[in-house]
Amino acid sequence: MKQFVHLLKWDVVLLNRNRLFILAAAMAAIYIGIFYLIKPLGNLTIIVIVLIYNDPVITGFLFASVLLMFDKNQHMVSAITVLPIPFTFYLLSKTVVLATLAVLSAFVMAFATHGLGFNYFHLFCATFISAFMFSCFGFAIGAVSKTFNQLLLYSIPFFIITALPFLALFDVGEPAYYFLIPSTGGLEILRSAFEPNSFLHNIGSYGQMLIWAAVSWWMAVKATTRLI
Amino acid sequence: MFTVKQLVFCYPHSKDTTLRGISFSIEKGEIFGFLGPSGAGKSTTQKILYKLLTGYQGEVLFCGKPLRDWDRSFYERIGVSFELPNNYLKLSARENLKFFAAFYPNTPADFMPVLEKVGLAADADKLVSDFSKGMKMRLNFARALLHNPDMYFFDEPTSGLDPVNANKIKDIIKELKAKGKTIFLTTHNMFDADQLCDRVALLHQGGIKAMDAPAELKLKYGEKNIKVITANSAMKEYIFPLENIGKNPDFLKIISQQEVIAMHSQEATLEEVFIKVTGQTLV
Repeated sequence: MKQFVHLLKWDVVLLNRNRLFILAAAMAAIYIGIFYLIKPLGNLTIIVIVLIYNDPVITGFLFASVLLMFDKNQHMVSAITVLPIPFTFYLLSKTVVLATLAVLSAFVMAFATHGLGFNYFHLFCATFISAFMFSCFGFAIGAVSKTFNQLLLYSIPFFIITALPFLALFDVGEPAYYFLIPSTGGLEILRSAFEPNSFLHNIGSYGQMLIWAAVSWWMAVKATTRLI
Repeated sequence: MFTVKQLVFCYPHSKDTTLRGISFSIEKGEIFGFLGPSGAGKSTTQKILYKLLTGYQGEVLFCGKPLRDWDRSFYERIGVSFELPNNYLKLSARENLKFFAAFYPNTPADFMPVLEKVGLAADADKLVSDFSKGMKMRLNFARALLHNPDMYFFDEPTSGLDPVNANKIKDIIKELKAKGKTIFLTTHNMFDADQLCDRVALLHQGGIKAMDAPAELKLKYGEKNIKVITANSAMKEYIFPLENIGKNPDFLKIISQQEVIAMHSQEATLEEVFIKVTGQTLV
């Protein structure tokens, strides 16, 4: 546990040195600016959901894949594997830090647009678990990419597929149509943070989100251990 | 310390067998050199020895216990310095050591002595991104020393270093040996291997072609002659068999009557031994 806390601490330092905190803060500030500009247009809930999912959650994917590419380029993976800690600590520490960053950004954005009137538990779970899941996908895709260009190339179809459940927010099909897509559960829980949803609907969404989180973790571990 | 018996390894989806039944042992307090050209199986053997590769056939024992049965505490017993620099570029040298040291018990709180040892004390707080390749390699080396393990794996430890720093690293390796530490050294540098190793194994196409002390190998594969160069009127070379050299009248006559400017035994260099044994140069 002590070693895991140590890893967490240094991952925060490394994120800071790679200026990813500044980048995350700048993006959150831009989105908050956009909210204030479009506030007079009416109900912002759907836009807030889309932007929260786009910014803190999906940037988890980009940050994770980029951090892994940095570590691959610096040959750090082999250095980590000969430490007396399980290799999974390395992945878990980064995903926890990125998911925490996503939660902080999401809460700042939610407070800025909805004040105190939203469900904190749903917002926390949706952003933390979804960011965790997207970070894991980022590790998996980052592990199989040899260059940054290749990473971008692999990311595009992934983003297109995971963006499909956004259509349900705009009443293009029911959420159930997108049930197999990893982002569906997280998006529905995020929606529940701002709009009431049935208990059963939430249970189904949580279940779907947790199953995909477990699958993404398995994929991340599988792909990154192949780098050793 | 390590016993390897009939080690066979084949990478998944590969038709070729990378290691074809190699056997060797590394004794406690020994510097064991592993020499071979690229693709000979050196890295694969190393990766098996530090548990990065599994799925091998044969037996590998560390301190008498099968390697497969060791848990992560195995990594507290070994120190690894990789061939390529692997440090966090956005951290300073001191921060890199602080990061890695915290995973081991009984590491020093002050990293200056180890940085001084490898000649990086003045650059302790400089970002590693500003380091030269040689400095990064020395930091790699320093990292392996941090937790005072029983056994070290050094992969090309003098690669990219100037002669002064290369000597510094070689002196540290000799110091470690003097303290009873065991060292597994992989190198292309025959001169380093000759200077440092108690025994070397010559690896070629996944098999060990020869294994002995460098001096023994040089004698075995070299010519047992002595070359004498004289410079009376013009430079002249004479070759004499080493056997009964003290009673060889021609040899005795030349060294007593002529001006001898050089005398060399004709033992092979390790590189020549390698070429003789494998028919290939070390690239």
